[in-house]
Order: sequence, then structure tokens, then C-alpha cells
Amino acid sequence: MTASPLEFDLTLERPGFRLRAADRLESGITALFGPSGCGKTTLLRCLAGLEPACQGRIRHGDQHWQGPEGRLPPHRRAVGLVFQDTRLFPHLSARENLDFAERRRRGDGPGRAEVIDGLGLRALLDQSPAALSGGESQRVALGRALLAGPRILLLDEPLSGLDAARQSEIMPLLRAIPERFGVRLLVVTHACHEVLSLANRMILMQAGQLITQAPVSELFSAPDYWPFLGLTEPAVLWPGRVVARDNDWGLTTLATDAGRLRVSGISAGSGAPVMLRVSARDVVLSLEPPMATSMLNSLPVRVETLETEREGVVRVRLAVGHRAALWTHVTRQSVAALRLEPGRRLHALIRPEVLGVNH
Amino acid sequence: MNLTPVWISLQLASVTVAVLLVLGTPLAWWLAMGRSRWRVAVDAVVALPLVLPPTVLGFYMLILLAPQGPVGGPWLAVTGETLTFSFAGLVITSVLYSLPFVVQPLRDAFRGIGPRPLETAAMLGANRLDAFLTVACPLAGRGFVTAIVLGFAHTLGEFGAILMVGGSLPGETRTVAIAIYEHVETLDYAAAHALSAGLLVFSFVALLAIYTLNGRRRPGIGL
Amino acid sequence: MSDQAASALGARRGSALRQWLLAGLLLVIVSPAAAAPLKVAVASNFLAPLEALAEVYRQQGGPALQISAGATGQLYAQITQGAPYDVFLAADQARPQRLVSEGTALTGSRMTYARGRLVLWARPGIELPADGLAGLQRPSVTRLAIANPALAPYGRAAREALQATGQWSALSDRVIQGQNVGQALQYLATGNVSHALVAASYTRLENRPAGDYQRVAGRLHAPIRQDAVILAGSASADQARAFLAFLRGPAAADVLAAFGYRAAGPSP
Repeated sequence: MTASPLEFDLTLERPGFRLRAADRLESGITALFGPSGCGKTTLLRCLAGLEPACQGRIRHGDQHWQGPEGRLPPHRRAVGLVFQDTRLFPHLSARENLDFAERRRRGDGPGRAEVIDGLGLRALLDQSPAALSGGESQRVALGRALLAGPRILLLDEPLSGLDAARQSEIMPLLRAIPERFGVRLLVVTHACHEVLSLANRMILMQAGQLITQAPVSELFSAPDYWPFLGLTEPAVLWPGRVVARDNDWGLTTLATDAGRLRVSGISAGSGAPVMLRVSARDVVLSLEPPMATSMLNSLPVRVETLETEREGVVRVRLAVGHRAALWTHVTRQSVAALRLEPGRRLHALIRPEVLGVNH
Repeated sequence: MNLTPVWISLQLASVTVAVLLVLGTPLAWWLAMGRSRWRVAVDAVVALPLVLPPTVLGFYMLILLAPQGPVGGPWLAVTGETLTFSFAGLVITSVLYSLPFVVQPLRDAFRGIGPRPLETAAMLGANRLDAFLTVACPLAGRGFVTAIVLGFAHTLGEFGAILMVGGSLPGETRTVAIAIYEHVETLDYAAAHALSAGLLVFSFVALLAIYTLNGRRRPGIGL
Repeated sequence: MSDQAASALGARRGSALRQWLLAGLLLVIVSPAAAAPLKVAVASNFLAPLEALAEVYRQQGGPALQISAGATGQLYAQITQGAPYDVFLAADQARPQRLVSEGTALTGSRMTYARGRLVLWARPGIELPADGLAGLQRPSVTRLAIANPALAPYGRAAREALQATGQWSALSDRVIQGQNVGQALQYLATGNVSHALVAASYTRLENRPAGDYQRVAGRLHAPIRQDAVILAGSASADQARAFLAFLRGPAAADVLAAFGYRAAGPSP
């Protein structure tokens, strides 16, 4: 299944609100990130064709969804939208909700058995929507949207309203969709951890405007965007890959741009991609390579910049391994004691946080 | 006792409700979802039979349906039949008379559904007609039951307008309400009692069914 | 303002209202009978003549009439349920007769106050058969409206006249029955029938429908007698009797003739 890019250049005027958005959606999962009320849901509705007042162009591959030539009605666009409140049809059972979508399928798409098994819906089929929990409803709504055969699936805060256990249940299902079903995803969220766990690319949105779009690891590592992301703590994201596993100690060795790191709590097999995050507070500097500490990982680093962050505290950017970066905070007293200055080489003890594993 | 008027009334109520469902459902949909500036005016027109005395409708019908009238004339030319003093004329009169009792519950039911389920259906590939038939109509099920029962019961109880345009032809336009009136006029109170009690019980059961179905919520009509 | 009224003002509004109502009621009860209007229930077809008669009667020094008009059957039903009329002017003989036999009306008070006549009326532009009822089978007679014979004396008379001229069964699928003569005429006025057999009194209406009409010979049907009775519950029976006597007199006969009725003639 080949996926065509979705290009759009849209405006929507409402009293006190103006949406202005242009971008090109590539494959994989794109997070649409921004504060509440910034227009994320409205943008999804515009793409789906549900906002008659929306002006501009939308093109999917060589098919024009909207433009001077006219607009394609929502039901003829190869788009699915999973609403935040799931909107299962209350007069139909879960199975009939799936049937509804499958009977109106617009093109190639995942098979029924594949969706039911992939999303774990088999036990829910005969339930009425009123009897389903929030997470179950989300899964049925997701399956229903996939069965309608969309090439692009728009998800409006699919994880909000779910507790942590349910979130961790649905997260892997969402992550697997692009590769498994050949569908690209645009996911609205205003939670950083959802972006980090789900998306490979993100669009930053504020007050109806698209601020920037970039791979997730780039955006999160760039200090300019930390205020938009609501980050108080500098951090970096390192994509990695499983290279070895120590079954005796339950430890997995990952290859990253920063070097080899050992982490616990991963059951993925060799070659699986893993996303790591290292926050400034999880980095400790040492002049000598440490001999014995409770931190498993230590890497040789080189000081790149020093910047006073607030009274008595200095933010240090470090270069590590092959073009990777790392942030940490030190006191001015430590700057003096360790004689920190650009170019100085020393060692960093780090505690990476495992964000997501693609099985 | 002659039960033909009961049969005539049941036929009239059934045909009237069937016609009203066909005409009233799209009208109710338009009233609930439309954005036309005429919507409020049409809403008011639909409600007119609730407040007008039946004699007003009967009077206008007598003129409109007359063999030279704007409706009766073309009808006569096409069918060779006159509309006044005919079952067809009663159906037209009843359709207008019972219009709000069918359209208003449907309109309120459609309004209660709102645009969201239809957006959802569109996202799953359903066109507008498909979404209307497979989503909006089933979700408005209670509204349909209310509309059918109220429309049926109200047509059964219709008197004034039918009295004016029907001509009380036995087996054609003499409905149960008119038969009751004539029984009272000719002092045949036994027959009047039997038909009246039947109509009373039927109407009560019909309303009881609606109120039970709708729980403690009152149907969306001025009852 | 009396002390009583002043204290009423001080009381709750509802109790003040009640006191005034009570005072009004007392006034009605204690006032002399001579000042009270005579309450007359009248069949609708005789309303217009009765209003003219009431004016003549008042000029002769009689009491005012308080007139309630309705269908004879409805008025009968109201009277049996105790409606407080003094006199009942029906459109037929059956209802007054029945009230007398039930004891609701005074024995011996029943009298015929008017005899009605039938006219055959044609819609404007439609010919009136030159040979009267005998010509009703022509194609120009598409619909003939009469009052319901079971309900209305004029309907019964119309049927008798049609039977006497041999038209009844031949015309049965063209005859439309109105609830009363008024409705039969309404069908004619709105163009829904070509002809109608109705009360002659309608030809005297100022706003009568357009179209030609002709009298139907009185010998073709039994007389259409409209009877009056005095109700047993009347508190003004003497005045009621005086009014009925006036109805039989020459002054009333002129009014009746002007409205298309025949003089009462011999009582049954």
C-alpha cells in the first residue's frame, strides 16, 4: 500500500479566532501539539471537510479534496476521524458499529480479522456502546475508523480521559498502525509524553498558527521550543536500537548516536527501535571515569557552551558520541571546581528514560 | 350498532399518518437542521393547526377543495372526482390538521440528535441520505413512535374541519366523531356512549403508551 | 365607602373579590322579577327573526330577551341537564314534545310558533329547473345539498319532497347531507354543490348567497312545524306565557312573513 502525502494550505475565520495552517503530512505518525483552544481540533475538522467555512486547498496525492475546483464531500475523502468522545452509534452494538464502517469502505484497508485481533476487540463485539469502558470505546472507535479504509487517520486526543493503564494498552496499538495498515496518522494532543511515546514528527500550533514542524527528537532538543512544549527541564531525545540483551540481569544494550547504553525494563528483540530521553537532572558530571556507582551508564563528553540560567545555576551543553547532545545543570561553584569551559573533556553519568519501544 | 364510521376513521387515520410520515419527515429534518431564514416562519406555519379553530381550516378547505377551487379544480380535471365530500378530501384536510402532531415530535427528535452522529457517519463513508436513513432515523425512533401515535389519535378525534368538508357520506366520509355527533343530535345516547367510550379508551391507551415510552419526559408538543 | 368595603380592602384580594361576588349574587336574587330578562333558547335557523321579534316585543313594553342560539339537539341536551332557560324555541316538534313528556317543560305550554318553507337554490350560472323538483335529474344538477333528514326538520321535508316527486332514489348518489340547512347552504355558497334545498328564511338574509331560487310547493312535504315550550324550571312562567301569546299574534305574523316563514297556523 503506497501512501500519498497530504498537503494543505487552509484558513478559517471565526469571531475572535483565525486559523492559518499549511503543511505536508508525510508517512508515519505526526503529533499536532499545542495548548487547549489553539485550533487543533478545528484543523482536523477542516481536513475532514466538516467545516464549511474553511477556505484554501487540500490535496491528497493527485486528488483535490478542496480548492478552487470545489470540494469533495467528507464521505468521499479517504480520511477517518476518531473523535475525542469516540461517538460510537448508540443504537448499534460494537459489532454493528464495525459493520457500518466496513460496508462503506472507501478503498484498500486492513481486514476485519486483522483489526479485531490487532485491537483486541473480539470480546467486545456483542456489547452495546453504553456498556463499554472509556478505553474499550476508544479501541472500538479506532477499529471502526480503520475498517472504513482511510488513507489518513485523524485522531483527536485518543488518550485523554483514559487512566495510565489504559493509555499504555492503547499506545502500542496506535504506534503499530502506520506500518501495519499503511495508514498515516495525525494525532492531536497537548501532552508531551504522548508526543514522545507516539510520534516521529510533530507540528507545533499556537493561537491558530502552525509555528513549526520537525522530527520529534529535533524539536525536543531545541531550546527555542521548550517554552511551547511547556518543558521546564532541558532534555534530549535519543533514538536507539536494541543490540544485545543480558538475561541474567534483565538489562538491554542499546546503540545510540551517543554511544552504547544499558537500560532495564525492555523486552524487545534485537534490532527493535527504542526512544530514550535524558533530562538535565539525570546527568552528573565527573572528572574521572567513575569506577563504581549505581548509575549504569557513563559516557565521555565535551563541554560546548555554558549559559547562566538563573542566580548561581549554569546550564551546560555537552557534545557526546557521534553528533549527539546532552544538557545538564551545575552550580557556579561546580563550574569553578571542575574548571568547566568550552572544549573541556570529562565524563557524564546518565540515567536515560525509556519512552517507547516499537515491537 | 353500525361500526362503519369506526372503520372509516381508522382508514383515514392510517392513510393520514402514512402521508404525514412521507411528507413530514423531510420537513421535520429541514426544520431541525436547516439554516434557511425561512425556517422560523415555516415552523410557525406548521404550528398553526394547534391554535386555529378547526372551523378556520374547514372553511378554507371548503373553498380550496371546491370543484372550482385552486386545489379541487385541477384534481377534478385530472381524476374526474370532486375533492369535497370524498375520502381523498378528508385525507388532505386531516394531513393539514394533524401536521404539527407529526412534524413537531420528529423535529424535536432530530434536533436532539444534533449534527454529531451525522458527522461521524460521514467520516465512515456514509453520504447524507445514507446517514439520514441509517443513523438519524433509528436514533429518532422515539420521536417516530410519538409522531405516529399522536398523529393517529389526533386524526381519529378530528371533528370540526371534517364536519365542514366531509358531507357525512355513510361509508365514505362519515367518521366516528361525526357519527357520535349525529347520535347525540338524534338522541341515540346508547350508540353515542358506545362510540365515545371507545374513542376515549383508545386515546388514553395511546397517550399512556407514549408517556410510558418516553419515561417521565413529556413529548415535545403542547399536551 | 362603607366600613364593610373598607375592611374588605384591607383583607386579601381574593376575599375582597369573593365579597363583591356575593354582593352581586344577592342583588340578582332579591331584585324584582319584572326587571329580569326572559331567557330564550332558540334554534339557530330562527335566530335572525327572533332578534327582530325581540325588538318589536320590547317596543310593546315586554321584557328584554336574553337569547342563546344553538342546534336544537344541543339545546335539548343542555336543557335536560338543567340549563336555566325560560322558553325553548326548537326547529322541530320532536324535542319540545319530548321535554313535555319528560316533565322538563310545562304541560300544555307547547305550541307551533312558525312553519318553515323550502326553496330550491341554484349556484350562480347554473340553471334552475323550470319544472321544479321534477327536473332535478338533469346533468346540470351535479350535487344537491339538503340538511340531514335524521337531524333536521328541513332535511326531512326535503327528503319527503324529493320522494313525492320520485327523485329520491334516482338522486341518491348526488345528494350531500349537511348537518343542518345552514351547512347545506354553505356548500352551495362555497361552490361545492350545484343546488340546495334549504329553508326559505335564508332568502331574506341580507348577505344571502348569489344564485336563483324558487319555492317548493308546500303540499310536497309535511308541514315543517317549529314548536316552542316553557320550561318547568322557569321562574318567570307568566312572562313566558305572555311572550308565546305575542308570537301567535298579528305583529309577530308580519315579522315571520318578512323572514320567509308562514304564520303559525293551527296548533297541533
